[in-house]
Amino acid sequence: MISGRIPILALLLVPPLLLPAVVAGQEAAVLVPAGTFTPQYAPGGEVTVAPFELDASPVTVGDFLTFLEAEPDWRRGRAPAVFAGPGYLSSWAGELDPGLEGPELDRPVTEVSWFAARAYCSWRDARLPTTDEWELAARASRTEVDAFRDPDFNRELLGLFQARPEPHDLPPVGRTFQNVHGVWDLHGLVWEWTADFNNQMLTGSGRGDQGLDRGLFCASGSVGANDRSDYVAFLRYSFRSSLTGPDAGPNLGFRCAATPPDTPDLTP
Amino acid sequence: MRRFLPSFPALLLTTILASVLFVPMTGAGPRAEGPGAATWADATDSTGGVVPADQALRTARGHGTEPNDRDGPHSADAQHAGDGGSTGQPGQQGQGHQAADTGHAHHAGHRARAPDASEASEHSVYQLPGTWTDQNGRSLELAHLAGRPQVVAMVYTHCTFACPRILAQMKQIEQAVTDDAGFVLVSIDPERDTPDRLADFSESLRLDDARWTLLNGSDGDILALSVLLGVKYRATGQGDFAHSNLITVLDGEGRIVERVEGLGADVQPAIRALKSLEE
Repeated sequence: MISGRIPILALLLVPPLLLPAVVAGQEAAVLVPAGTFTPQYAPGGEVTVAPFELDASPVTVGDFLTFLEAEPDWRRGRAPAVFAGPGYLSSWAGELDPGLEGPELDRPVTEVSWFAARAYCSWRDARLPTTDEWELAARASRTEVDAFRDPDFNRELLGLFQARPEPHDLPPVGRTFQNVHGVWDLHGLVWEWTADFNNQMLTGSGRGDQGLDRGLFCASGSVGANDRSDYVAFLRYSFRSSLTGPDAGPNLGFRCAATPPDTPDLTP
Repeated sequence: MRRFLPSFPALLLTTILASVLFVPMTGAGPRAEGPGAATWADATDSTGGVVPADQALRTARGHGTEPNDRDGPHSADAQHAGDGGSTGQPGQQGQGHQAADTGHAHHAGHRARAPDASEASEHSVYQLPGTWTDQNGRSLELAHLAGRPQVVAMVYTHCTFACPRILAQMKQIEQAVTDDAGFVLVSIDPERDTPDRLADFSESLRLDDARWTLLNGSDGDILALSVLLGVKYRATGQGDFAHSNLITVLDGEGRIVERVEGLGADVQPAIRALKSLEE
C-alpha cells in the first residue's frame, strides 16, 4: 500500500512541465496511435494501422535470460534447428550464461531467431509487431509523429545508421534515440524482427539467400546512394526480405507489441 | 526547464526525489520490466472475443501452471509418436512448441510433441505446433502427415490464376509417383477457405481423399508454416493474395527435401526426390 502511494505523491510534486519526460522514461510499453502511410518497397499501397502497444525499448539480454529460465526448451542446444539456426545465442557462454553481467544485461538481446522472438513475446502474453506497425512507429521523430519526409530527420537517421554500434559490443537499450511516442532505439541500435518479415517484398523469386552479415555489409557499403530520403527504410525492407525464420545474427534483436483492449486483433 | 532551475532549487530537489522514487515504485523502466507485465496481460485479457481459447492458453503459458494445458496434449503426444515416428519422450514437454506460436487461435493441442533431440525432427516442419482442420472437418496437427512423403503447397481456392497452375503441377507429380506420397494444400485464406469450402474444392477437382489433405488453420499457424517453407504471401485487396508459387517436398519425417518454385517450373526435381525417397 505504502509503495503504491509514494509515486502518486511524487507525481503530484513533479512540475507539470517535467512530467511527460519522467513518465515516458519509465514506461515499458507505449501506445502508438493509429496512423496511415504508404510503406516503402512493399506492394499494396497505403495502409492504415490501428493503435497498438509497443515495447519502449528492445528486449534485453536480461529479459531473454528470464524467459530461458522459465522455458528450458528454448535454450541453445535444446531448441530444434528448424526453429533456431546455428547462430542462435551462439556467443553465449552457456545455456543460461550470456557471458555478460550487471548493466551489460541491459543490452538488446540478439542472436535470436524469429521463432524464438515470437515465443518470447507469446510467453509475455504479447506478440511481435507487424512490419506496418513497426514502420509506423519508426516514422516518428523526437517531435513529429510522421517525420518521414523531414530532411533533418532523415539526415539524423542516416547518421544513427552509420554510427551503429559493433554487434559484439552493444550499448544498453534506451540510449540511442527516443521518438515522440516514447519509443527508444528504433534507429541506430540493432535490426528487429517483425511478425510478417517474410511477406513484405514479394518479388516472385522467393527468399533471398543473403546471409545476415552480408546483408548488413552490403547496406553499409552503399550509404552513399542518391535517394537518401527513405534510404534507411529501404535497407530495413531489403534486410527483412533476406531473412529466414531460423536466422539469428549478432545485429538482429526484437521487441514485442500488443493489441490494446477493445481493439479487434487483425494481425497475423 | 533550465530557466526554472536557478529560481526553483526546491523544485529541482523534488524532481530528483520524484524520479528516484518513481523508478523503483513503478517497478519499471523498460529494462527492468519483466515478462508477464500487467500491461500486456491486461491488454491481451481484454482483447475481446476474437480468439478466447487461445488467450486462455497464452495466459496459461505465461504462468506455466495450468494443469489442463499440460495434460490434454499428452494423449496427442502418444498418437503422434506413433504415426510420426517421433521418439520424443512425454516427460520432455513441448513448451517450445506452444511457445513458438504467437497464439492466434486453434492450437489447443500445442503441448503435444516434445522437441525431439533426434536429427530427423531437428529439421522437421512437423515440429510446428498448431491444430488444423482438413476438408473432412477433422482436427489434426501437422505431425499427422508424417510417415510418408508429402508434397505441399500454400494456396487459396478463390485464386483464379496461379493456384490452378500449381494444382496442375502437383497433379503432374501425383501421376508420376506411386501411391505412397501424400499431397497437401494449405490455405492462406482461412476465412473463406472453410473446411466445407475445401471439401467442395477437393471434390470439384476430383482430388483423392486418401492422398490429398486440404488444411484450414489459424493466421498465426499459417504464417509460421510459411516461414518454415519459405512461402511469401500478402493480401492485396479485393480478396486476392500475392504469394510465392512454391511446391515443397517433405520426407516422411517432415524434412524439406526439394523445392520447386515458379509457375510452370519443371516438376522433375520433385518427382526425382519422391522416387529416391521410395527407394
